[in-house]
Amino acid sequence: MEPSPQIQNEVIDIIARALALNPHSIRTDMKISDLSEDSIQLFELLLTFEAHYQFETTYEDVAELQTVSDIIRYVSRETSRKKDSTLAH
Amino acid sequence: MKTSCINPQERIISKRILSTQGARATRYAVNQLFQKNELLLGTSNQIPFSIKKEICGAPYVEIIGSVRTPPLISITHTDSIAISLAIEGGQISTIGIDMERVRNFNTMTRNGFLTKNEQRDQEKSSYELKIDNTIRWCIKEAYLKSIKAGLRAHPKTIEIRGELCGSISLYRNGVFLENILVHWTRIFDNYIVAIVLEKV
Repeated sequence: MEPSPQIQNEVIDIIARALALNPHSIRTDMKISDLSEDSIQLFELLLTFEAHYQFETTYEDVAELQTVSDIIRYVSRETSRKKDSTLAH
Repeated sequence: MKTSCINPQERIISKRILSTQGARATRYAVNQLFQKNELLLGTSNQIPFSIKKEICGAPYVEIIGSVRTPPLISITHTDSIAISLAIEGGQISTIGIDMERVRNFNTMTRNGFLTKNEQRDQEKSSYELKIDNTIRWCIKEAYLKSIKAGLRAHPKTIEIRGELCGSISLYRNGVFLENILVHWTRIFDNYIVAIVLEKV
């Protein structure tokens, strides 16, 4: 399933705020490790996503999160998984 | 509130420049190591080598046309500084280095990377605290780099016990890590560098 434009915009906005970047110039093919100043900023970005979307990152999955697009897909997958599990209960 | 933000392309370019500096530092460090060993061995042959990256991103040295064991390397860069560590294998099995600018960590980040025991030790002045926490981050990151995990292993799984200015022990998921040597230092007043080595 393709991530919604809303998720895409939200993720880009969070990345821009966390990494102090201009959101309008962030492209989805950009590597997240290139956008962050250092590992602490990258870790803080992960924590911000966890806090915003209320999910816990599987740290083994972090290796797969290379680009902005990977994060958008990951957030989309995790939020819909969370929604499905809430509906099931 | 107005916050300054930069064009992502500018950051990408500055990180590429830093990465190039890191590679140059590594070539220098490896050449120095070879020269030192050649002096000891009494040879003067130039040893050609190339610096490569594993899939996980960890750099390694490949020696061209030789059966000689390549040295272990680790690279770190932040702001405009790049540091490379090169060490002869044999006695040491893994190495990791990390450098960070001394900074304030907000509560979310502190709680995110410090274990409960480490969080208890936060009754210090804000100046001491930001140095302590930067040291803790650097040591954890250096260890995680040494095992080629990086952020794929949670920094909270590593606990630093002991006095930062004295003897330090590392624990992973509560288990004492044997044969680990930890060293940290402060450079250019505002940066911490940590090195973690595992003895064979």
